[in-house]
Order: sequence, then structure tokens, then C-alpha cells
Amino acid sequence: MKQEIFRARALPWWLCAPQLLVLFLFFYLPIILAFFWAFHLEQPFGGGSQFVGFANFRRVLGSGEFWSSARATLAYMVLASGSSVGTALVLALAADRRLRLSGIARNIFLWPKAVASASIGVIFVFLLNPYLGIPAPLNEIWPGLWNPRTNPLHAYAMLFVANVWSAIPFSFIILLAGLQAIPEELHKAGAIDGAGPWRRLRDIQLPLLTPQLFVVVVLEVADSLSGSFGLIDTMTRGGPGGATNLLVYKIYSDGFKAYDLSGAATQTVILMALVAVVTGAQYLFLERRVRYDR
Amino acid sequence: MIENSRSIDRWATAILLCGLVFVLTPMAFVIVTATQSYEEFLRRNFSLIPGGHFAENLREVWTRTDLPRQTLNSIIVGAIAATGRIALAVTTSYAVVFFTGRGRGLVYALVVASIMLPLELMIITAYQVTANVALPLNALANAGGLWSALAGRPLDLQWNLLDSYAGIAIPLMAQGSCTLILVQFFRTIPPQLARAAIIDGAGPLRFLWDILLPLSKGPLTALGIYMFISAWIQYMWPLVAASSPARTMAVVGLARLQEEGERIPDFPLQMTGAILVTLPPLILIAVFQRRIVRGLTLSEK
Amino acid sequence: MTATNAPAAIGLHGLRKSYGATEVLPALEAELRGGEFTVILGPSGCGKSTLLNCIAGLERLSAGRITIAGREVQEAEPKDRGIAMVFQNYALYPHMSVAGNIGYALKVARVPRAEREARIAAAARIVDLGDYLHRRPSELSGGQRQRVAIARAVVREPQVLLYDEPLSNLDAKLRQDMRMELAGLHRRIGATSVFVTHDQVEAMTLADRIMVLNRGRIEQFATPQEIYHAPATAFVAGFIGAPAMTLLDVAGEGGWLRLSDGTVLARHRHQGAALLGIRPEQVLADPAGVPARVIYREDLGAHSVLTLQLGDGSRLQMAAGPGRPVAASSDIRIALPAGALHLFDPLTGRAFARHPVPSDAMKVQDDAIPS
Repeated sequence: MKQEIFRARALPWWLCAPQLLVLFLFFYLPIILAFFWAFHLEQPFGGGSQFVGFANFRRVLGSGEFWSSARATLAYMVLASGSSVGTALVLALAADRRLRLSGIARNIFLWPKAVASASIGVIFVFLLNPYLGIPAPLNEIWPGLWNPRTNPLHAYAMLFVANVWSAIPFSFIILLAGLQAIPEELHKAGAIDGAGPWRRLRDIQLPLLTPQLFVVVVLEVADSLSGSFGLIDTMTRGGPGGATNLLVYKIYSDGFKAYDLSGAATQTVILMALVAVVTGAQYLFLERRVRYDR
Repeated sequence: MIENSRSIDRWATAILLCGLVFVLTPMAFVIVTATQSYEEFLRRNFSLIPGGHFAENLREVWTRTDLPRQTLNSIIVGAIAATGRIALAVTTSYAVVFFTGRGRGLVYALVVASIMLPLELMIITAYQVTANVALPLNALANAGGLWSALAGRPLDLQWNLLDSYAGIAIPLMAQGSCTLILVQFFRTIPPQLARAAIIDGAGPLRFLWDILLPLSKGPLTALGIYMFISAWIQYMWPLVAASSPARTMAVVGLARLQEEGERIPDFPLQMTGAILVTLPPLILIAVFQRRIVRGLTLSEK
Repeated sequence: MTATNAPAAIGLHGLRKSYGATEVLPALEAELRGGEFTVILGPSGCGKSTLLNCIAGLERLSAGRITIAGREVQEAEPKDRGIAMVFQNYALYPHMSVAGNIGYALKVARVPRAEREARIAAAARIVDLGDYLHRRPSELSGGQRQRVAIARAVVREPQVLLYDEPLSNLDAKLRQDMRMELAGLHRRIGATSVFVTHDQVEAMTLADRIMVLNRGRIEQFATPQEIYHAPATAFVAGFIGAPAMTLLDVAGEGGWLRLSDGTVLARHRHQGAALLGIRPEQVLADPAGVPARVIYREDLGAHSVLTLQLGDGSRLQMAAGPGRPVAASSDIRIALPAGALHLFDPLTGRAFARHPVPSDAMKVQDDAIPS
């Protein structure tokens, strides 16, 4: 809306104030505090704080455990968001064809949204239990074929499957809505121009879907990280041997179990920077293709 | 659609079927396992044969675990968080869309930026703030030793919200997606409507209450339901913010069932608990699917 | 660009299209001559767009055959039919530049880049778009977008050009300009053109022949002159002309046509019930004529349109010249010249057999005067 409608000085600020207050207290203040503690050390026995410069960063960056966790986090962010958006995209493309199944699928594909990541963890850790779950019969024939408790790759596979399962609904809704917003006439024009269904997918549907893809990928990066805690805490607890100890989980254990406030805050700052960089990279990569009007 | 696309449609149907199997299989196994007794389960291990012990398992969950109480907590926190988020989003979006003035764009940017970094990433310091919400007041008053000079000692207000419904629910409201969606929706409302209201003598608040809110009833209920579910399925924040069993939420309680020290976990009991914890939001989603989708995709049109 | 393909005739044979139980096109038969500009005209929902989509191959036939240049194409994909199409909402690809839009079909067909660029430039020149090749569609006005859509169609040098209400999104002034340009374009490239519209002005000005479609059936397929001066059915009579022809229930007896209250309207040798059609501009004022009361008057400057009420209550429209202002609610007397009368069967709506349809409009009147 270009023109102003109501002319009032104070009222809009009063209207915004509650949300700004909540955001300040529980979003911006925690970020500021994270930066504060990243450069301070908590005095033992509750005696305030002491400025230590980059000492916390030196300590964190000097630990091999941090680096393996950071690498795992980055890989998880990219692979988890990639695999879940990819799955949702394929499903949305199929559901967009107005088949008899589309209606039911549109409802059922939302159901995982009702299941908390921790509940998914509880469920999948049982389903994929090497001795009691679905793979049990196979494990009896080929012992050691599947064991997420000892094999890091299996542990990651389990996390990814659970993550894709839980991430389908949101991406599916947004991508399907985007596909359905593409005018039918563009498909017709494409067909007359000689482009078959696959060619139209590449030349028309996907380019026109970039705004939705962009939104979904950005949100999925954030979501895969926040959801990873519930999955890891119920499925692997960072194991086996620290292989799935992603930063989100590591910060939690360092802060709440080892009471290392400064170390946890420093890693929080680094993790936020990591998310910002990944989001920014996508922004550069995708946003530049998004500029057009429907 | 356009050309003779029967083979593509067959592929698409196959893909949809695979998706349905993928989504429904875990749910089916959960339900089957929840009908078996622990003894049955130990004897047969994993099996697809439903037993007849669902009612028994349910009774056990109801009496032996804290899940009923925790489910009530989830309902309370979910309701507070959903109402709060909607209320905050309505007032902010209204100010952003229907008023001009400096700072409007900045406010919107500040709100939307919060979508990129979820609460889980800054859990440590968010916990610190919730442990003492008066923290910024103290910091402000003590800046430069001001308060010490006036009162003789540094200001040290304490206001701990941990382990309270407000302390669990309010930090969940500090996220701007609701505002983003509502701003998009309000932008589709013709400004002439507000002009007509002005000519009819209605002030800004009157317009909000008499015209804008009734017009937005559909999207608002859809968003409300979605936000209720979003709060219900939270795990990490309720885990750290509520330490007493009296405030623990259902999802956290379910995960704690895992920790009971038996050698082979009582999976039938856990799965029955999973059903109990998942069913309320699942029913909401299945019933309100169309409305929720319409509400969420407003921002895409 | 000149016509590189010989004009292709289009044959529609027993063409049937239904959606479930709803039959949109029941067994259509027609022959569209090569190089001709055919306008398919009809009210919304008459099946005209469906018919066009069937020709294009965007919808499957339920039964029947379509031939283009003698070749059966009903099973062929759209791209293999030698057609191009201009859509109502332009249907430009928003993420491609103007050049990209025009050249997309060539790119899909793997035309080498150099040739592609030459043809894009040539097509853009035809529709005067040379300066805009690197813009996005969103940066263009409605008229310019429609030019891009036309350029995209002609760049493929199609045998057949299909237009689906291409002017309906433009304002009145632009529409007139585009009509002129389309007529010029058709003269230059000479491809067989099929143009769907509900706008009779577009039909009258553009068409070599008009196919009037009503509920999936062809009411009349003839030149604009014939459609106007010798409508084959009451539907065509009521659809064409602004204001349209008035239709009155009359009975013919003893060489006179009478209204239901017995008022004598005109001389005619028809016997029995009929629908009498007369164009407003052919109703004359005549002091010795039929009495009528002016109940409404619209002054359009160049002429005015009077709505008259006749003795039995039925209404009649009359176009009066500028020099004779007639006040509303005054009484006048009018005459319906015998040569201007059209008689239709009240049951079937078909025109009663007249004299052999003359090609010249003036001759209609002369021949139709009863002896």
C-alpha cells in the first residue's frame, strides 16, 4: 500500500510496542547476551563477569571437538534442508497434476506437522531399532547390516529419514501453492511452443517456483537445525562417539550439563553466524533470479 | 493436462503412493505396537499383528505416567502462545500496513528477521533472560554505576519466569512468521475500505475492531490453530524452561518415558503415549487442513 | 516476413467434445479455407474457446477428425500441427526477456542461435518491438505485451494462427489500433487465422468469414455482410448489430403481418406465426404508419436510439438521425419497410426461406419487396 490511510503519530507505536517488547526480551536480548558472554568469562561463585577479549574464541576454536561438530552441523544443514525440500518438491509436482490421489495426499502430507520432532525421534528410534524394529529380520540374516548405535553413517541416515518425514508438510504446502499459482495458459503456451512436460518443468515451472523455493529453503535451514535437537536428544544423544553431536546439541550440553556459559555463548555466536552465512549464500544464489512480477 | 500424459500421470500417482506409504507407515506401526502388551511384544518382538491391549496400555499411561497432567499443560501453553502470537501479530501488522510514518519499514524488518534464527539456537541466553526478565532494567540502571551512586548499591531486581506457564509460552511468541503472513493478508484488503470507515466516522481502533478483525476471521482462526500446533510440538524450550513435573509439557514427558531404566524399553507403552501426545494436533490438522493451507499460503499470493 | 507456407485449410469433421455428461460441442462440421481469416463469434460458454483449444491440440476430442492442410492432426501434439497461438492473457513467460519469449519455440526446436536471433529480430520488427527485446514482460504495457505474444506466434511461421480473445484485456482505443494491425498482419503473412471473440465489432471488422456459435452449434458461417444482412437464425439476428435487431412475435394473414392485438405492422405474404426481425436503423418515421409511443431515448450524438412501445405492449428499437429530436413519452408513427423485414420460424429460430441470398446488401431490399 503506497498511500497512508490513518494519520496518527503515537498510535502505531503503541500497536507495535507489545511485539517489539517480546522480541527484544526473547530474541534480540539473547543475541546480545550471547555476544556479551562470548567476550566475557563468568566469575566462579556468581561474582559477575570479566572481559577476556577473544580468549573464549581461542579456546573454542582450538578444540577438535568443536571443529568436528561445526563440520557436522554445516553438512547437516545443507543435506537435511536439501533432502527435505527435494522430497517435498517431487511430491508437490506430482500432486499438482490433479490426480484422483491428489486430494487425499494433500491432507495426509500435512499430518507429520502434528508430530513433534522429539515424538518422531521416539517413534523412529523404535521403528529402526536394530533388534526390535523393522530392520530386525534383516539383521538376523546379515548381522551388523544396520546398527545406528555403533555406525555413525547409520545414525545420520536415521536422522535424515526422520527429518525428511517431519519437514514434508510445510515445504509441500508452500511449493504446491506456488505451482498452482502458475497460470494454466503458460503451460498451454509452452506446449504450443513445442516444450513437452519435462521441458516445461525445467523452463517454466521451476523458474517460476524460485520465490517459493527460496522461502522454503531458507526456512528449512533454520528448521532443520531447531528440529535436530529433538531428534538427536531422543535418537542418538550425540552418539555414536560424538558423531551426531551437532552444535545445537553441543551448546545445550556445554551450557546446561557442563555449566560452561561462556563457551556455550561463544559457540552460539558462531552457529548464528553460520546460519547467517548459509542463508545469505542462498539469498545471493536464488534471490537474484526471483525478480519479476507474475 | 495438455498432451496425452497418461504415462506421466502414472508416474505421478506412483510418487504420491510412495509418499503416502512413507508418511503413513510409521503411524501404522505406532498404532499396531500400541495394541500389544509388553509380554506379547517381548515374545514376538516386532510384529504387524495387532493385539487387544490398547485399552490396557492407555489405562497404564493414564495412571502410571504424568502424561495426562502434561497434556493439560500442553493445552494451556499452546493456547497462551497461539493467542499471544495472534494478538501481537494483529496489532503490529495493522500498524505496519495501515499507518505511515518513519520506522515502519524498520519495525517490519526487525520482526521478520526473527524468522531466520529460531529460539533453539540461542537457548542458553534465552534461558538466562527468562531466569530474570528484569535483567535489562538492572543493566540499564547500573550502567556507569548510576544506581549505586543514587541508592548506595547496584540495582538487582529479580523476576524469574522459569517453570511458569508465562515463562514457557512468551518466549515462543518471539517469532515473526505470524506477522509476516498477516501483513501479506492485510495488504490484500482494499484501502478504500479504510477510507469508507473514516468517512463513516470510525477511528483507527474502531476500524480494526469493527471491520478488519471480522474480515480476517478465517485467516486468523487458521493461523491460530497452526500456532497452537507449533507450540504443542515444541521440545527444546519446554525441556529447559520447565524443570518441575507440574509444568512439563506432553512432548517432553513422552521423551522422558524413554529414560525409564528397563533393559528392553516398554515400547507398547511408549507408542501409546505417542498416540496420546500426537492425536490432538493431528485431529486439528486433518479437520482444518484446507483452512490451514489457505491461511499459510496467503503470503504466497 | 512473407508467407513461407502455403495457406492451409482446416477441416472439422464430426467434431465432438464433452466433459463427462456435458456435451460442449455436439458433432461440428466446417471447412475453414486456407489463408482465410475466420472469426468464431459467440456468447460466453458457447464452446468457442473449447473449439479453438481442440484445433490447437490443447484439448483432446471426444470424437471426430481435424485436418490441417489435408493432414489428420487430432492425435498430433500441439507442436506438430503447424499452429501458433495468441492467448487472452498474453501468457508470456514472466522470467524471460521479450527476445526469450519470442524465441522460446525456436530454442525448443533447436534452431541454431544465429538463425534464431535473426528470426526474433524479424518478428519483433513486424510488430514494432525492436527496442524492447531485452525488457521483461512486466516492464511492458498491455498493448506491448500483446505484440510480444503476436511476435511469439508469427516467429514460427505457422500455417495456422490461432487467437483466443487476444484483445479483450486492452482498452477501447488500443483495441481499435490492434484490430488495424492484426488486419495488416494477416495481409502480410497470409497464414490461415482463427480468431475467437465475443465482440461483434472485432468479428465484423477482421473476418473474411464469421462462424457464429451458440451452445456448441454453428448458427451461421458466412461473410460479415451476409451475417448482418441475411441472418440465418433469430439468434444471429439478435446477436449481431448494435443495437441488435428487434424481434417481434407476429402472425401473417392475407398479405399482412399483425401483432397479437391485431395491429397491422407491415405488408408481407407470409402465412402463420413468425418472429419478425427488423434492424433499428431501418425503422422509418411515417405519418401514415403504425402508432408507437417513445418510452426511452438515448442520444448518442450522431444519432439517437428510441425504444418504442407498440399497441400490444411489445417493444421495438429505432435509430433516429440527429436532425429529428423526439421527446420521450411522445407518440409517433413508424413504418417497417417490407425490404427490411426478416422472418424466422418461432419454433426453430431458422429464417424462413427467402429469395436466393444476394451478395449485395442493397439487393436484399429490392428483392424482398413483395409483388
